[in-house]
Amino acid sequence: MTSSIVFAAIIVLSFGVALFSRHNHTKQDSRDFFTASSQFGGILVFLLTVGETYSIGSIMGFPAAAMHQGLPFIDWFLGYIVLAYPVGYFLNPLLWKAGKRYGALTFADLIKAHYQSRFLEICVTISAIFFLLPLGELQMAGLLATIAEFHWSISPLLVASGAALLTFSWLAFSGVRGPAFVSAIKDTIVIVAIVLIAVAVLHKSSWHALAAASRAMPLSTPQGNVYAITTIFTQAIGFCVAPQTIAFIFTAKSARTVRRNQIIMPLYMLMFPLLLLSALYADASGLKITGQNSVFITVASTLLPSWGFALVAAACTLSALVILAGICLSIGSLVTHNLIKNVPDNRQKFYAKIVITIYLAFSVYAAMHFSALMPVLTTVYYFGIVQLVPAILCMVLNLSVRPRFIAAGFIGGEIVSLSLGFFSIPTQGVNVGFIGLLLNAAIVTAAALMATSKFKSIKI
Amino acid sequence: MSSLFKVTVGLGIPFFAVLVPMPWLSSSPLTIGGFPAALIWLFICLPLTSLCMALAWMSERHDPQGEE
Repeated sequence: MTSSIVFAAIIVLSFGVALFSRHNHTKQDSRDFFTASSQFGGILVFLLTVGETYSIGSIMGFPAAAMHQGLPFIDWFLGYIVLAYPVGYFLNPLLWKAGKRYGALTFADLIKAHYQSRFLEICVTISAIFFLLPLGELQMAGLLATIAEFHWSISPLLVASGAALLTFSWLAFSGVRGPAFVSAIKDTIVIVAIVLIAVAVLHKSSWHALAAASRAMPLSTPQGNVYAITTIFTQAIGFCVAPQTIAFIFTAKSARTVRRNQIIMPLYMLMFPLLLLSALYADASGLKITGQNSVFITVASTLLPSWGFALVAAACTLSALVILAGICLSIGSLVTHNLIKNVPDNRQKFYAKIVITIYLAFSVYAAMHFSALMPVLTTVYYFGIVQLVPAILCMVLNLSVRPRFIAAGFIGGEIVSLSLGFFSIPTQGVNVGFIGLLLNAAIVTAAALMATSKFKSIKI
Repeated sequence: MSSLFKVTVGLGIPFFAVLVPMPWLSSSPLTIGGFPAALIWLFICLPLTSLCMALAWMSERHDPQGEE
């Protein structure tokens, strides 16, 4: 009973905070709805952009996968996130400047403005929407696994619908300001929850038992190392060009804010060693784990008092919903701003809300019916997103490459990556997104070398 | 400071630190304080990466207007 009350109080608080975030911004145009009119200072931009680090996938998936797959998984998972930050340190300010130069709301606006190609704009927009689609279901699945631990007699459909309604209300009232402000609560609770569990683990278990569990984790193989290194490389740069990441960059007041934030982000990852403790404890104590990704939440329900468990469950729930809100905004802006042409500014927000409603309904439906298919589609997310890299790099470096070559590289890279992935063609451990990216980069580089126009000087 | 210095320190060192020892450490039973050395090294790389970016940040001149 206590856990349900604490959990409900935090969820109601999140709604109140989202409502408060529209204070002084009651009349939002589409720019304010999607990018907060680029008014966010360092803290809000930090909370938005770092949010992906502690998504529900990380909080629940990291301990579970670390427990089952050991070092090969930990290597690539932590490796790509930590290296995405230095890539972002150099790339993100350039994206912010390009966004300001072109008055962009979405990453596809940058592509359209730089390459002057409607075909390329549509290609990257459709591709981004396709790869973002399964991520909503992923958040819903994590959320349902969390709520199941309360053993309420409520159907999963009702829980998922309630979560969709809450997310929609944040966005409908406040646009991007809603998830940004809720992120402040979410991140505070996530940190408290992880520290609580780590303290409980260290109290209940001996250091030697945890160390022994860590030594029992599988070691990497030569093929595993190839996979880890190519995946780290692919996903570290893919992380920085993800449509929702670029949209969050556009909310910042200045390029300096964007760059300075990147410096602190790796320190924010110091929660991962504590998250790992929950997996080591489960292994060392032989704890019975029911669900595939339930290690963290099961350890929480075993070791913490009911209010502590509620805090952990609320942290997982808000993590899922904040990420879901970011995806909704990205898809909403891509459809109303890039896919459909000439929507008047005063109607874009309205149409975006319709698109967001449809997407949330799809995510709920997918969570009920396609739960086996969606994780497969999620694994191809970075294969596809990373193919934007050559187009984005040519844009921020002001390289003159014809749009037809950018499109050829992009489409070629996607076809190769997806074909290798879907048909499980052996690649000796090389990440298939990496292979597609090499082909993509080769096409674009050859075109760039052939182009007569060369660099304009840029300041890194 | 030159752009080459900033890129080497801010980007090159973190990539080198994470990727180069990984194949050897992750396949090795070497431990530090009872925990796999690969794990300890990866966790050391977190503050190291922040430090590298901080050095790159300190080496550049910053526009007081903040847009750079």
